[in-house]
Amino acid sequence: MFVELVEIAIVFFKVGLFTIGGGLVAIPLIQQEVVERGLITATEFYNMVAVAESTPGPIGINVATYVGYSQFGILGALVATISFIIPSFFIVSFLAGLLRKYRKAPLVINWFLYIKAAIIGLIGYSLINVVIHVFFTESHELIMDIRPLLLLVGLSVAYYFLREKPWVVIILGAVTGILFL
Amino acid sequence: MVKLRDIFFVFLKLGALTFGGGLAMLPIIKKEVVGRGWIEEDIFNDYIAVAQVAPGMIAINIATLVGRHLRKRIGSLIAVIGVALPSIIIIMLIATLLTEFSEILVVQKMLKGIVLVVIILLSAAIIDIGMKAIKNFYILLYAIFAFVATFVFNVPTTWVIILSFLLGSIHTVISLRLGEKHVR
Repeated sequence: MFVELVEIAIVFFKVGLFTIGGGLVAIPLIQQEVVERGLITATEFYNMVAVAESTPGPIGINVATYVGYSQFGILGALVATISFIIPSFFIVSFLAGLLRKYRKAPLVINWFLYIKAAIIGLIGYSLINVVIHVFFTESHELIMDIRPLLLLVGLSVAYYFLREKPWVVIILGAVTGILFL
Repeated sequence: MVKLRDIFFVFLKLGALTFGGGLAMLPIIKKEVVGRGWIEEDIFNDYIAVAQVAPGMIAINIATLVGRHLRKRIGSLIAVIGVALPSIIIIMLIATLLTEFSEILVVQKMLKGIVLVVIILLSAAIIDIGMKAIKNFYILLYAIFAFVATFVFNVPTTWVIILSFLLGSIHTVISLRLGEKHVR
């Protein structure tokens, strides 16, 4: 168990170090580390993201806690979350002055020009994986179930009007899921 | 001097009551800490900018910066623990419940419904960031490259982040060189 805990710590330390531009980026990073290593199944992972989005608090912390907890209970949750926070905590603590001074330097601005683009690609990676998972893998054939697609369209319309209150859309998703899926 | 207890409870409240992650938290954190007169507004705005360019989650970064501003290292530690603690407790409770009831059909249907909303939230994030970040054709091409590399060729996501730093650095060097020639 000790070895696995160390593995969890290393994975989340790495994810914490490379999560730049907000917690959403942590989703593709964690996904690649834990789903493709076979630590948890894709279904479990997407359920974890669903829970992380529906509960208060930073989404990255929610996912890290959930993944850690699913592996080794409370100890796993704490190890994953603390390892995830440590890199940015120390970098921000020690480099706050430098970051404040140079955040408008051309080098930093250019880094973010490319990082933002990379983030779009990486979130796209997570997005397409969820879409394939929801619409294709579960039915084990390439015939799409029409109900989730219709529901997705309906929820997208709801989201368009309720953008300011994403939690309302999440509740709508939960209720309509129970009723129609 | 601001009490550590007050720092802890302000960030605990933020962690417990804010939905939608760090970006959604920012205006509420601002109201709490600038409204209480803990930090001047322009310094706080600076911190927001730093929280977004530093590695890590925005919520954790802003907690680190505000805590540090108020009570040095111990303040930042207390603020980070405060903002993360509700998540840890809530998630562990829900995870326990869900494993208990994961066989129940209603729970599975509910989660499937929420996963559909996740699809919408991820798409919205891509559109949001894309509208601001895609400034020219090459940047669009790079975003597509990042997607193809990870999705099709299974390139580690961390490599893509490192490559972005490299390209940003090269871009800077080249534009500086070109700038110098212009001046001459």
